[in-house]
Amino acid sequence: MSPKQMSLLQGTLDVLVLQALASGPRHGYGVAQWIHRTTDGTLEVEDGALYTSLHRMERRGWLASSWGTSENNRRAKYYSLTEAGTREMAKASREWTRYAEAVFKVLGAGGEPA
Amino acid sequence: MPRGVRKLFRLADLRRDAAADVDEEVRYHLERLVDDLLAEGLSRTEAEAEARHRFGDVDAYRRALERIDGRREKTMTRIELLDTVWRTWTHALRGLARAPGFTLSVVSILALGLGANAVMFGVVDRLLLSPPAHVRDAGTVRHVYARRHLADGSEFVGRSFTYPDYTDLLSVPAFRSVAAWSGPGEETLGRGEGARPVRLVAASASLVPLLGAEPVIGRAFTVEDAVPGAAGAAWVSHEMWERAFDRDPDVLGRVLDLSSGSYTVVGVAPPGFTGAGLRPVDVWVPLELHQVRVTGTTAWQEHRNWWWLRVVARLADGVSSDAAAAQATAAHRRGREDMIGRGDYDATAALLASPIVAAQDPDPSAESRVARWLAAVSAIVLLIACFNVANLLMARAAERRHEVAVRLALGVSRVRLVAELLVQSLALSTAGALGALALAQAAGRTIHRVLLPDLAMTSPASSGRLLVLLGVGAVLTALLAGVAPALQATRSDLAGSLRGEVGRARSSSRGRTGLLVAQAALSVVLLVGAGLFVKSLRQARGLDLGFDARHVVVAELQWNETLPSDERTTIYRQSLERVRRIPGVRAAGLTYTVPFASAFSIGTPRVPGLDSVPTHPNGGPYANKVSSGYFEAMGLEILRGRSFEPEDDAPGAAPVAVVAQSMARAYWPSGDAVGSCLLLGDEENPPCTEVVGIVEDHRREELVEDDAEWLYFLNQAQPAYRGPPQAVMLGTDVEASRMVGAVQAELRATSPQIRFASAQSLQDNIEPQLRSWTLGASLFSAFGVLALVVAVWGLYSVLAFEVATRRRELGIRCALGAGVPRLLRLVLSRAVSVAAVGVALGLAVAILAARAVGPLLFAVSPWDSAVYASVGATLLAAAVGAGLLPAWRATRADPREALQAE
Repeated sequence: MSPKQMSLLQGTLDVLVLQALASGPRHGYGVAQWIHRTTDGTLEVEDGALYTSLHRMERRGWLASSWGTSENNRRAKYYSLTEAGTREMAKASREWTRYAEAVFKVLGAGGEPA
Repeated sequence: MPRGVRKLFRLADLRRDAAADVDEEVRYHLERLVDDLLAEGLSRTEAEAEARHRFGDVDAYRRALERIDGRREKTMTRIELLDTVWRTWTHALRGLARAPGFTLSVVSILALGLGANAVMFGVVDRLLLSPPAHVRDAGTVRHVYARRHLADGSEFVGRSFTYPDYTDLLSVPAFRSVAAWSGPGEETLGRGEGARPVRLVAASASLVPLLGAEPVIGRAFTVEDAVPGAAGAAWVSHEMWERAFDRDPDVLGRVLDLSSGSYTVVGVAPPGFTGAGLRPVDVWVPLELHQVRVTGTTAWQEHRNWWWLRVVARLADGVSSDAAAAQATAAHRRGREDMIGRGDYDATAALLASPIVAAQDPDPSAESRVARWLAAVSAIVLLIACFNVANLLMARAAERRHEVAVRLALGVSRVRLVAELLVQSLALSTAGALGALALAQAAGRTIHRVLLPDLAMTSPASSGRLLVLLGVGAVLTALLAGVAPALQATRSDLAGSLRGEVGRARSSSRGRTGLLVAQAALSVVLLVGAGLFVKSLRQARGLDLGFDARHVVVAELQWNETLPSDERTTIYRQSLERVRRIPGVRAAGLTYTVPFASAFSIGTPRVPGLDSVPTHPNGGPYANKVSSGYFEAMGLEILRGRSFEPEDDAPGAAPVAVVAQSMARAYWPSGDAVGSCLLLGDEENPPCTEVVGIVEDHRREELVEDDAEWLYFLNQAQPAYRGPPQAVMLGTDVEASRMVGAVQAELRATSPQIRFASAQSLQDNIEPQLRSWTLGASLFSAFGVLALVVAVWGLYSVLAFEVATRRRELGIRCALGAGVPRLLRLVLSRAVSVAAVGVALGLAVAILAARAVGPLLFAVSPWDSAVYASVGATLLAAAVGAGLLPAWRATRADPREALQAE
């Protein structure tokens, strides 16, 4: 996998994680479940990568974390969107949509008879 | 260290923390996943293998995460602190913006409370804490006072000195410089229509250099300007330069035509300069020159019984106040050696060198005493404002319990939440402080003018100390009002709050009730003060002075100081004839002294056949010389004999007298005053001055007298006192103040020699004596009403809040058949019981505090039951008023809503 592809995948994962947190704070396991559920398990991604994404975005200031008590009464680290994170999510999903449209266009063009 | 604090500030052992955090996070993930897989029916071995597979290389990821976090911890520590602060602020401010009604009421209450304090601080700062404006290095400037014993053995501290006393001090080595001044007194600037009074100070040439004030234009006057016979130099105030000269840069050389002669402007004082005193001054002129022009002699240079100067000195380098005072005392006693030897002066008289800042004055002025009260009262208002804000914050915290509980559950630390709530109250109090500043700017000047009219006040906001005070005030207010609500809010019990329980509101409502009671109590204290002062003022105004000052005009003529005495008398007589013809003037007469303004005594009159004359404990008898028409103008009744007739005014008429009732009774106990003789003067056989009538007792200069003073009146032809009359008194049919213009116009037209004619109601002479009560009454009333409004507002908001949170309970009560009267009673009884406890507490405090106010009151007991009762009733009525709207809302509680919510 070339670096370029790598960053594309990373960017995709980031958008998903941001999206997962848009509805409210969650812990890492919660984010993993959400992604698993919403993509019907089609997206195969290692849970560890999910955490690197979370931690990286926290470093960039897109996410804030704090320790809280989970639904099964255990200590868990919760992540929430910061203002910058919200902005980033809007930007990233715009770009992602544009990218996806471009890909569809290409695929669509290639599918039509010349 | 509690976890929250570390979280907030990211202190110490961050690396170890980061590793532990990553460990715990990953472990949690894996354990949850295993649990879930077990639930799906996998065996533990299978589940653990599957979890590891889904996670990827656990150790590699853990290291990666630690690396990311480590970098973050290192680079973000400082930024994160800033970021936390920033987020706390923005979150707090957004919270306030979401509740504009709440924010507005808190900010306005704080603006009122802090504003009242800002205005009062301006007064206290000016009166007590600051030297007069433009005094350089005020620490070494001293007012010189004399402490001596009077003939009756009582000690007193005098501010006045004679001219030779002042010159004695010039050679004291402990003083680098000494200056004297007299005034401010009134003189007339210009003549005729445009003439107007100005406030003039005659000062030694050393005054301005001693204080260190720098002129804006020109120079201060010098010793040469002060020499009798010099051309006359004047320093004008900055305010007068603006007002009278339109800030003309070429003002130097302009001639001021004043009553005491003409003076050339040589300089303009810096803005706000008032010399060594605090009263406003328009013009400064050289002391010695002015005195020669006014008195026509130089006798005052030697005279040691003429106390007309105030003295200020600057200490020489390194000399202490005490050392300087000792040297000054020695010089003072040396100068008065002869008098002390003759027993005419107190041998133990001592001079004091007292700091120019009034707070350390040995003999505080009435204004500075008032200022202390002002400060105390405005502090109470601020306290009430704080209680109120605390209450609103608590109510709001209770409202947000749910939100707080959720955030606590999400792991937002309690410290962070408390910090956020405190930041919120700090933001509120800062906004309040800004409002206070605006308020002080807008209302400050007016308040100063009303409360302390004789004081030169600079703009309150110009003082950096005020800004510091407001800053400190805002922070203290934020802490005072914010800490308890913040702690209470975050103590909230999670489960209960999330379940929507309202039962807990009860315990926090106890705190709110306490604050409401405290507010009500403080309002009661202020209102009782207001009641006592208003009643004092009414009693003092209602005093029977013997005459009705509101229907008497006092008119005085101003002329050049050089106009001879007999010409002045002639002009006064001419003007008397003219003003008598003004419609609405009942009667008019000339007088040599003006009640509540001036008086003279010409020794003790004797009575033929009486070896020793009786003496009055308060001195006197006091003489006056008046023309016919005087008693009628004053509205004084002649009890026996006759009044003065026009024949008595004519030059060469026989000397006659009218005696006031108490004096007649003391001198002629057998009641045969009319027809007897008064012997005036010290000669062996003075001519008989026949007593022709007895006039009713009346006040001469004190509103409050234990024993009526002994007064007697001489006709104008009486030779015992020479000199021109001092004023015309006019009795008017309508309120005297409405006649002032007509009288002035008529007087001005009498003679071109008249430079200016002043006229005012006699009541204006009495007002200064009423000032302490006027001040007390207006001050306590204003603050009392303010406190009441704030307290009632607070009561209303809490009741409204309680009704809102108890809607469900009220609805259930309604469903169970509680009628409207019962619901009304429920809310109103709460309002009244809070107020009743507050009233009881406040009255108790007032009863204790009243003792301190006692000496300031007039003819009112500090425990006047009518005042206490009406204040109590007012507060209860106000409480019912505050409860009406919430009570009405309570009756609208819908039982269906309550039941559906269950």
